[in-house]
Amino acid sequence: MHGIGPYSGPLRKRIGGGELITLGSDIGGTFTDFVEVDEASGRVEVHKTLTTPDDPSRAIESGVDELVARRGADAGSIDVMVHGTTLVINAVIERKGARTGLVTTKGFRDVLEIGREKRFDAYDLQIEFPVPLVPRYLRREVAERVHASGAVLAPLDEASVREALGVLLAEGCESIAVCLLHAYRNPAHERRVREIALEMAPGIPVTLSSDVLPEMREYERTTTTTVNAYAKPVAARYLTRLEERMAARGFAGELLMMQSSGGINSVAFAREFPVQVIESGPAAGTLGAAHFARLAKLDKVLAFDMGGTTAKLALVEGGRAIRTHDFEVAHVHRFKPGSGIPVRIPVVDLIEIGAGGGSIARRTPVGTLQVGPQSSSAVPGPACYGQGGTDPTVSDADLLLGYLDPDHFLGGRMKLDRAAAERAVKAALADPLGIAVDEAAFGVHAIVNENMASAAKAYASEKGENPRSCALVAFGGAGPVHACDLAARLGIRTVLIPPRAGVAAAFGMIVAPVTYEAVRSRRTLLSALTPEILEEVREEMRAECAQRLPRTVDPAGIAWEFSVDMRYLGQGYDVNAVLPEGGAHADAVAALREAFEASYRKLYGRTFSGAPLEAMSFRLTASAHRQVAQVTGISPDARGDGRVGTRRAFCPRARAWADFAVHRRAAIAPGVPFPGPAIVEENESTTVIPGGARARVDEHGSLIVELAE
Amino acid sequence: MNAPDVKAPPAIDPVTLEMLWRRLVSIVGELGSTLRRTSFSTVVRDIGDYGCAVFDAETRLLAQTPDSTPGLCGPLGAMLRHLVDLHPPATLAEGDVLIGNDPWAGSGHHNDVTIMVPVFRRGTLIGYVITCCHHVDIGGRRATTESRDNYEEGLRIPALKYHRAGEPNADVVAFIAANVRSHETVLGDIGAQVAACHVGAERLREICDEMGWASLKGLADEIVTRSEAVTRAEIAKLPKGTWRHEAKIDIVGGETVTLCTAVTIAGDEITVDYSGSSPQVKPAINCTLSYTSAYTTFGVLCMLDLPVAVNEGTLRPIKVVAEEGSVVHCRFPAPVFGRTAIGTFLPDLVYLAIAPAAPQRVCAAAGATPMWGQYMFGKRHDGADFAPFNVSSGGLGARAGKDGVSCLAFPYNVGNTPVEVIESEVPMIVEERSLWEDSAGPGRFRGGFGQRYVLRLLEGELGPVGDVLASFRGGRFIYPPEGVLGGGPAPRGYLSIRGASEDAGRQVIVRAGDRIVSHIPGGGGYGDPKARDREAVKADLRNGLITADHARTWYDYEEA
Repeated sequence: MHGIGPYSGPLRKRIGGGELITLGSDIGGTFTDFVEVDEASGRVEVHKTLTTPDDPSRAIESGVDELVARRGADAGSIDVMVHGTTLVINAVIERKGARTGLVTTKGFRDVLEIGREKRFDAYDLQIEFPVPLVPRYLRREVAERVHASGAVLAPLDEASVREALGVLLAEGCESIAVCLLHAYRNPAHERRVREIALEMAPGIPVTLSSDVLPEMREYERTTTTTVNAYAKPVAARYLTRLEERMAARGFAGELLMMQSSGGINSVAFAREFPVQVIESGPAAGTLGAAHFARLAKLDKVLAFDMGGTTAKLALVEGGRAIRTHDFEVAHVHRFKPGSGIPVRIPVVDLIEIGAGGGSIARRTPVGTLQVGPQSSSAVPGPACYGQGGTDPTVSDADLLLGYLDPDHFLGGRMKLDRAAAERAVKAALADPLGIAVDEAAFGVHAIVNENMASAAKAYASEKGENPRSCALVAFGGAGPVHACDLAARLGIRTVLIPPRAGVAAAFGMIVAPVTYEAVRSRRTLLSALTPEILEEVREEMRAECAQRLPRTVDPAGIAWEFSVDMRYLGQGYDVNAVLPEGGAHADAVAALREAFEASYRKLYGRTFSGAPLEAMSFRLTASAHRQVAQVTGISPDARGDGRVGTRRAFCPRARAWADFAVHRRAAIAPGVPFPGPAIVEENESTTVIPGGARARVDEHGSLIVELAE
Repeated sequence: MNAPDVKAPPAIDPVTLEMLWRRLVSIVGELGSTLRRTSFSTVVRDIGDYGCAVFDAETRLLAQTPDSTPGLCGPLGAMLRHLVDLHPPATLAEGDVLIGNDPWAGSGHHNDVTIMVPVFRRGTLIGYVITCCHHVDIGGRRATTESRDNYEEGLRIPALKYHRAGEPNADVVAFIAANVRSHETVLGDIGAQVAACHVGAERLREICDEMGWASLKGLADEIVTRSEAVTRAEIAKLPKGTWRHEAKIDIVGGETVTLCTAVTIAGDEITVDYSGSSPQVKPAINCTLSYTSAYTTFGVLCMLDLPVAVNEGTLRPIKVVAEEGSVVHCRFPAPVFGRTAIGTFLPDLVYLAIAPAAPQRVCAAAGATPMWGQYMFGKRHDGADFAPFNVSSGGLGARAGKDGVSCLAFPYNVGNTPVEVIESEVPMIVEERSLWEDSAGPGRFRGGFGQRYVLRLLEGELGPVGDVLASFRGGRFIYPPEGVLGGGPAPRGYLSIRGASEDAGRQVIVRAGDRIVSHIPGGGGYGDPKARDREAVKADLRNGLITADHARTWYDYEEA
């Protein structure tokens, strides 16, 4: 499946051609990352360039130029380019989207503002919620009413539509969102509103809730629709510019977009549904990590990404990241669920913790040591960056503990100031707490790891999983520094650090499948679920998938997954059950019950025998796996165990200072085992291996550590 | 590295203390999420009507679930001490599980059943894990404020051993099974509570194992002492004295009760005294003292905004006093089922009283208090029964420096049910769920807006078959949510059925074609409305949230 060979996957951009050159590019806050894979030779090129926030496509352009120049080619040599961007989420967070008007059913202009009426923090009297993307005076009602069954209770009053749209257009709205009650069941009125809007303002972008999210629950559908409408003009401008820039450089291949779900889709799709690409970096990073876990034959992994501000953890089983539809953006409080704007799209199910290299440690008013979630951000950054920061951070602690080499941080591009780190830890932590500097430094390291461990345990248990049965795959700048201690706290034995961990997201784009997920809400008792209903929703969704996947996808290569969100009658929450392919209808209903009960038992440890089941929403996921070249992360001049020296560092396992062997990762030959305590250095990160552990690099270039019992 | 400082080492170093303290908080989090996820009851899952806590062997609270309803979580300490009084440690054995639901010891009504597990390690009692959950049924009359005494309100479970040394007590199980509806679900949910407590017990043992401790005493001492010190320090920042407030609250049947609140700051302690409040009442809305304490303490803790999670130390400097026989300290066997009708007002009353002394910390009265909800029982044309549940909230009161939030539950924390979900179950449509113009109490900072919530039962095939039994919760029909420090009140609440003004709480019959209109007030205002930022008034006008008339009357603002 992962062999080198002619491109036989569904993306048949190149006809008659040989092997493809695929480029992944991920725009991050600071850097734009590139990974280029040449399937013919297995050659991988990695490149980083500074992000250009005013026009991110500029960094793409220059980065691609620099990358292809390395092999003396131009952009015309690239066959497939997969792209991920934070443009949409930034537009929402920074409120730089289009002036958007919202059309709603009479009586419901305030859905966006009333929300779910619940506090995300019970004790906070100063609580605040995100300001709606559309102010009340740009939310207009139309007279119409559809029943939950889809029956029309009151026809659409077109005069009221013209009046509402007239006001919005006169107010200068550049994008229109339409969310009418029960449009997920009967979209006719929404579609008519679009026709009228296009008559009144030809070419104006219109987003219908029945197109974006045909799913019951008006608040989440309205916020999702509104975010899409709000981002549409911005996304369209950006994508057009990107296409033009790339075309001007001779690129004639297929441009694809990374989605938040961990799948990719066409630019045309992203232009119509920018909400689907709202935050693709974490999903792509998870997929990149999962790829190497799969190569190492690790079936169940926790992907662990620790950067400057946050850490992210995601469960990956059988190479597939778990997905969810509960997603929020633009939080008032970054780490408080419920304080953001809900966006119900398929996303990789991950947790984000306020734990990164820049997380600030401080003495609490009750005299304990706390780390994060506040972060020193890039400027002034940790004290050891020497940019004027005086707050002690996780990176300062890591430096004092000997894990980071002050002279080789970021491959030597940045010198770290050890004295500044020590001053910060002493003044803010050690002295006020009455403990030694190294105790304080290890306290910071241990507490940030404990915070991540407890979040990971809670996350895994909510999925009915135990971290002990997983391997940990660590990436991101600080991930490998903390991975082994975190694993030990979780009872995990195997830790894997993939090659090129600093560009995991861009690499994930190379290996991501093409996907689209359709949804239909049709509330019905399982006992009343007829073959006709099943067939009808399945066909509707199949047609939608076919229409929304890139045209180059070979229909024969698509894998389908049909699933149903179900609940026990009377309960307020759904569990997704996958319906196996084939079989008679009676079997399908029985299989659904069985699948539901299996998932329910896994999540909640029990079932309620005899309780009637109710189907809420049906989902069909289409995915087409791409051929993935076998690429290696091993440098040709690797010999032996790559050991280059020794340094004193604090062993987390022995809780004492020890001599750590220092290895250069690029110099470690595959299969050569070496023991901990050891430190493995590479440009983007450092792996800390405790005493008692055994490490080696596998044939794909992944560093694999087996911890002692 | 530098030599260590020469200060005397504390009993536990600050790093370990932080780690274990956080661990205790995660343990209750784990208990809570287990219960939330395993309970059949939607009130547990969606409303957070549960509470979990861990205590040390001296019954000192170490951590409790932060996101549970105050009424469920707050009384856990009182309930634990009640159970331990009747079953002293000497009579407890490893594997024992205790059960009880006495409203006077716990969360104030029978549906809330408490399960407690004493935690033993190597034969020594090291602590207690306790959970309390609202159950789908507890026998007796169904949810009603019409019960005449506590005996009509379902099964009373005294402090009993549900398991004895690991063995289920079949007599108790059978007794419960025989007295509640849907007993399989109820027993299943009690089973989930037992399982959750056992997980918590294991986690407490793991801490002792990891640290090599014989008990949790040293850890508990540190947590309690340090927390008590910061709490007292925070209270000491408030000016000393006594601040009073008298509120009238309309209850079921157009009656009124008076609640007198006196908040005293003496040194580093706060006492909230409800002496002088009305005697207990006939309708089943009386509060037991443990319930009154829970809501009052919750209000005080929100106001103090402490840097630590709730534990024994944060609770010690807060006292709640009420006269026995009053509506906030009712005498057995007063009926108590609908105690939220009184209890949820208590945080507001504390704020209204203490506002002059702590202007930065309070918010004006909440339009969400009391809770507004709709209960209906009927049949659809396709033969299915329906029994929807929806809670609608008014606006949060204004705060120092910011407006209140529109339509937000407080102090309970119950979200609404999406209209599309309601309409897919119930043969009615929601004609309107929108912000109610002019419903926010005016002020320099205005309250959050309340809402208009309008239901109509459909006719014909999509409508109900025959009569629909309904009851509607709500209030503030006579006495509106008050403003603070010069802020104005929100308007009064309004409920009508078929166009006729109606009182909350009564059981009524509604039929196809009937409309039920609820106007739920916003929150009270904060500070002089005339001092409100002109741009803010203008924005509210532009958004149609206030009328020109309202702007003129309250804000002296004339549209240009």
